[in-house]
Amino acid sequence: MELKEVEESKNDVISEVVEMNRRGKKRKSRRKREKITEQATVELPDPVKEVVLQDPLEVFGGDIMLMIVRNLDARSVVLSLLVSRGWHSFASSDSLWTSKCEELWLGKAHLPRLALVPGLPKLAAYSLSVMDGKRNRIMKEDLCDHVWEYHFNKVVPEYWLNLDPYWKGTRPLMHRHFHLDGSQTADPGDTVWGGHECCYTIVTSVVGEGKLREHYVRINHWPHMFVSRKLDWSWEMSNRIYCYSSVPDANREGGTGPLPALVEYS
Amino acid sequence: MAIMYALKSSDNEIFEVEQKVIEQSETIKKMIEDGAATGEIPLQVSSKTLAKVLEWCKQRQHKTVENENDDNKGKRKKERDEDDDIKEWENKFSDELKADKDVLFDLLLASNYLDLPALLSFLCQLVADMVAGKMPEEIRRMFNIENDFTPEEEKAITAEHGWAFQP
Repeated sequence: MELKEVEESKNDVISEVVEMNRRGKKRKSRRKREKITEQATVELPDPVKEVVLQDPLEVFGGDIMLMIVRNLDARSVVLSLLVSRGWHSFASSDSLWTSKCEELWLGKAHLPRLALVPGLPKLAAYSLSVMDGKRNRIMKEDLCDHVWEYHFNKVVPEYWLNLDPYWKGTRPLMHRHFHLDGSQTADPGDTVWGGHECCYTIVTSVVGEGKLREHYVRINHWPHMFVSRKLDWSWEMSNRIYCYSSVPDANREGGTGPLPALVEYS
Repeated sequence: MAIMYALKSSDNEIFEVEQKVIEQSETIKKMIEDGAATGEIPLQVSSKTLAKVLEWCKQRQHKTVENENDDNKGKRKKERDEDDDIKEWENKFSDELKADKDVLFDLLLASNYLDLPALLSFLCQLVADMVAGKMPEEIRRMFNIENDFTPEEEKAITAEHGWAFQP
């Protein structure tokens, strides 16, 4: 009996060492296992064992590997692309990335035109979408493709607030449209639209490596509107006086926004 | 009296199993239906792995029988307790497999060969957990895989999917 106790405490010490190697996980089950087997020889710690594992692709083949990576999040699958050519071939399969794209696009306000190019592999479509979704530089195509909701901010005089459906709590809200010729228009019957000619400019200045220094959109000579992007990939442009928000149009066939050649900074 | 079948492992060990347990395997079920399951059924599965397969099948069998015997009264609480039991059992089962990954791989192959979809998808999840969130280099080291990309190819893939490689 005494002897067994000594044996066990020795195992405990081994467990401690193993535990340090394995960041403290699964201590309980390990100890239990050691007690059940009650082996006299000292077991080597697991890390040694892990090294001699075979490539699962060779063991299981591509079909099962595809089932396995279906359980992974998109980032993990992308990381696994670089393991080897063999891994790249199953981890880049369209059947896998079609559903990943659907998940990614679900609930987004806009889908990038560059990711919806017919015949584009779905993995490429996914990555282009993610990267386009992080783009903070607005392009003419973004302005012109979307319809924009427009409302005043609270600082403007009462007179203007009273004309704005956003503040009166009525619908529809005011809209603005940007055109490729550089002009801007409103919906017919817009109560605050002055009827005069409007034109817009996108101003972008860049420092080194494509980093934006200054980026704003301006209408006529009115105050700069600063551009921001929301999590659902919609845009907002605002200054102290008014605010523009892009109206969701993800259902638009072929997507919206610039094509790859036009995107310089993301 | 339950109908029993004798399964023979690749290392010639015999396992006596109830029909209901082993019928979960579509492969064996088909053999039984085709009348091909007379005498010992030889399987290309080692005794160590086959024991694990049967452990899984018995647990699943247990679960379905109990569900059939339930009446509706108090079923919900019982189901909840059962779910907890199954979870606990599955955790123990997967802990054992994680500690011995050779068995995990053999078992996955066996579940595919025997056509046990529930076990197969359970094991696919376990292997996926081993890979999840790991950098390519870590995965290669774990599975002893040689990197057969040229540096240019690696660079191109990294550039195309830059978002995934940023911390």
